[in-house]
This record gives sequence, structure tokens and C-alpha cells, in this order.
Amino acid sequence: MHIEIDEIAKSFGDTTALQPVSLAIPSGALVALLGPSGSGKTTLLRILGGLEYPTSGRVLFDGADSTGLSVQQRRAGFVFQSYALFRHMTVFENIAYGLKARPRKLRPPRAEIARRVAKLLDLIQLPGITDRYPTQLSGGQRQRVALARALAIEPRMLLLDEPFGALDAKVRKELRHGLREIHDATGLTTIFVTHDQDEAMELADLVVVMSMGRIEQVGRPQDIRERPATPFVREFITA
Amino acid sequence: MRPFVRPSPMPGLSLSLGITLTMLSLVVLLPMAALLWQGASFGIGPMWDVIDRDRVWKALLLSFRVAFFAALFNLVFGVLLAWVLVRYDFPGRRLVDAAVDLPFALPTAVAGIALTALYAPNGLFGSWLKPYGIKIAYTEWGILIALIFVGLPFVTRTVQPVAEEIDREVEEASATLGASRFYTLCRVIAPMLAPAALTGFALALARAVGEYGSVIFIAGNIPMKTEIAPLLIVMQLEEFNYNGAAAIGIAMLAISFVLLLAINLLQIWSRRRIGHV
Ligand SMILES: Nc1ncnc2c1ncn2[C@@H]1O[C@H](COP(=O)(O)OP(=O)(O)OP(=O)(O)O)[C@@H](O)[C@H]1O
Ligand SMILES: [Mg+2]
Repeated sequence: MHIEIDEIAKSFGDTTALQPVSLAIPSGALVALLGPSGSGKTTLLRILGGLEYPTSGRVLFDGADSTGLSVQQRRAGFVFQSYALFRHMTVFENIAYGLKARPRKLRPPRAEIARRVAKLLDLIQLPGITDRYPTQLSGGQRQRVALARALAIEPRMLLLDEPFGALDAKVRKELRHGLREIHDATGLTTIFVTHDQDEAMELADLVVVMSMGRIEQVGRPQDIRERPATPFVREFITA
Repeated sequence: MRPFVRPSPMPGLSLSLGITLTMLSLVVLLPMAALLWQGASFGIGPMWDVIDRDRVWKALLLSFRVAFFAALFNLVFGVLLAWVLVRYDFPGRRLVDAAVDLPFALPTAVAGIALTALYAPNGLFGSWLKPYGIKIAYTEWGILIALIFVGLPFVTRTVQPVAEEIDREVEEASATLGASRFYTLCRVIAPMLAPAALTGFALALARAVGEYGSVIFIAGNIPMKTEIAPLLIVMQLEEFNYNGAAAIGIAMLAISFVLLLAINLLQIWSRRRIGHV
């Protein structure tokens, strides 16, 4: 899905989290929101997911103004930094949650739900953990379950907030490739937040560098590396 | 065979276990043993004769029935109150939060007299309700209100810390997966609060069953109608009939024990359902 961010601004009381920012994301792109702490990455991602409403500006999905759409209507697969798995549910129940929560008319039959969960577990390469509870999983496994849960609703886009933030370097590398593969397999427009420039440069098609609520530069990794648009970008990517 | 005390990395287990058990015996078990001893020396047969009277059965039934409904009411509204206090900021929130403890602090007789003054036919609320033929004070409804009053803090105070622990992101995750607010409430929030809510329910129930001070003022204490079991015990004591008092006391103890055991089993089940926390 093509996403257009049109002069979106957000403030929380006195603090301005986002200056008016504009950005167009082509359908099927894998985009990194890169920037230091407090630069407004999470805020922008949450606005796209419908978890936060902008103070001004519009969000367009495939050209249609979607600023007023509720979280539920957006169908954005969202992966939280803390994963936010339901700890009283097994892996199976977690992944099936979005399908079971549908109104009766749109809910797939039981067997179909089971089939889809199994398929997703294959996709994240964790078959055979269906009956475990989240606390019985490693950090990397939890992250992948959170991803599978988000994919189960057949989302129109995938939004991930620091998906590898809480993991050690080796697992991070593995999961990076995992995300790339899943993106390529599903073709979903995918936006992930990171403050790790290596991660952004290695993984993304398009990198959005942010600082203090502003977008400093948008471009392909090599463009940003070769032609940093502002002193901030130059400093940030060589740091 | 598994050893009775499993080895634990925490130091001082046997010492703390010893102190705890000693205190527990002195404060809780000893008085109960004394009660049972009194009953045993009286004899099962005579004890049964005391209990097996219409007036006693009616009082026991009344006590447990009204206590159960009061605890049920407190379960629902206590959880709701806890949730509102944790999740919403409104003017006066701190005041309400502090006021939740008042039923703990207030001497129960004061509560009983205040409630009676309000709900008596010539009281503030009572006089409003009178034209509609509704009587609160000196009926079961009055007992219910008194028991709700003394039991409310138990549920709210046990649920509150657990509600505070629930990560807002878990609710947001549910919403991004397409779940309505109501579905989230039923499938995500309620199961997480259930074990604490059950604990609060058990505490409120136990308190309501044994409550005396506030109820006797508002109940009217009409034999066979609004006479609670603890009042019967006090009446036996006033007649120096210790055996009769012990008999009714043991009956209440037995019923309470069965009820609390059942709630505990329910709790183990619900705790197992929320997984390994
Ligand atoms: N709910 C909120 N209430 C008040 N201020 C907020 C809120 N959420 C974010 N902010 C502020 O908005 C600014 C941007 O925050 P945001 O979380 O988007 O940053 P970030 O780029 O995701 O940072 P990090 O890398 O540390 O996660 C910060 O100054 C933050 O303090
Ligand atoms: Mg953030």
C-alpha cells in the first residue's frame, strides 16, 4: 500500500514531538525511520498505526484520506518494542487472536484459523511451539511471535518499533534477515524504527533520517552515505 | 520422595517458616482450636440440636446469602472502581482513592448508624423511597448495603496494583489486531485481573459473613427475617450459653471454610490460565 504523510505535526501539551513533516512511501517498500532518541520516530509510527492522532496534517493510504480511521479500521500490523504479547495466552492463541476477534461474519472457521497459524509459524521458522506461553520463550522467539501475530490479520502495512532493540547482536543479525525475507515474501509496505544506522543501512530500501521532530533526509542507503543532506546527517551516520 | 521443604537459594527459609508458623498458630489456630474444643466437649449430638432449629438455619442462610451477593456486587464495582482509579485522571481522583479506605478505618457501628439514619423511613434516602413502597432499613436490603459498604475496599485494593501493572501496549496491541474495546476488556484485561479479583472477592465475602457491628443497626434484627448468625452467637453469649455460641460458631466456620476452599481452587485454576507469571 502506498502511504503518504502530508504535513503531519504532533505536540503533547508543550512538547513538540513532530514538526510538520511530509513523506511519501511507495507501495511495497521497506523503510527505516532512523534517528537519535526523542527525535519523534515512535510518534510518527504510532500516528500511522492510528494509536495517536496528529495535531494537524493528513495521512493518505493509497490516495484516500485516512486520518480519521480508527486503529481497528487501519489494519496495520504493529510490532511493539516490548512485543506486548498476551502472557495469559499460548503462542497459538496469541497468533490467532486477531482472527478470533473479528465479528462473526468475517471470522474464519476454526480449522482455517489453525491452518493459518501453522503457516505463520512456518514463516517465522518456529513450528512446534504452539502450546508455550510467552514467558517460556526467548527474546528472539517472542519477537518473531509478535511479528506472526501482526501478520495474522492480513495487514495492509507492517509497522515495527525498534523490533530488534532488546536483543543481543547475534540474534539481531539473524532476525534482520528474517524480516527482509518476510517482507519479500509478503510484499507488504513495511516501516521499522531504529536508532542503529547499520541496521537501517543494511536492511532498508529507503532510509528516513529524523532529528528533533523533523525529517532531515530521505533516500536510499547509498545516497545517504554518499551525499548527506545536512551536517546532522553526516555526523549521525559516521558516528 | 520429595523433601517437605525444597532446597531454595533464598537463605533463612527454615527460620522464617518457623517464625511464621508459630505466629500463625498463636494468632489464628489457637482461638480456632479453642472454639473446636468447646464444641467437642459439648458433643456432636447436642451441638446439632442447637444448630438444627428453624431460627438458626434461617439466620445462617441469611448471613451467607446476603454476604455472597454483597461480595458479588463488590467484585463487579470494586474491579470497575480500581480500573477507573488506575486508568483515568479526573478531578478529585486522589480524594476518591483515599476515600476507598474509609470503610476500613470507620468503626463499623458508626457506619451502621450512619447508614440506618440515611435509609430509615424518615431518613434522607428512606423518605424519598417511601412513597414508592421501597423499604431499605430493617430489611435484607439494608443488610446488603451495610455489607457492601464494609467489603468494597477489599476488591478495589487487591485489584489496583495488578491493574497498574498491565502494560498499556498490551491493550494497544489488541486494538491494532482489530479487537473492539469490549473484546479487549473481556479477553485481555479481565483474565489478567481475575486472580486478584477473586482474592478480593474471597476477602470481601469472609468479611461480610463475619460482620456484626454495622449490620445490627440497620437490620432491625427481626427473628427469622433479618437476624444474622453472628447476632445469634452474641445472644447466646449474653445468656452465658457458651456451648450454644460455640455450636453456631463452628457451623459458620465449617461453611466459610468450604466456601473459601472453593474460591481458592477457582483461583489456582485462573492463575494457571494466565500462565507462568
Ligand atoms: N505520550 C507522550 N506525552 C508527552 N510527550 C511525549 C509522549 N510521547 C512522546 N513524547 C515526546 O515526544 C518526543 C518524541 O518522542 P518519540 O517517542 O517519538 O521519540 P523516539 O524517536 O521514538 O525516541 P526513542 O528512540 O528514545 O524511542 C520526545 O520529546 C518525547 O518526550
Ligand atoms: Mg521510540
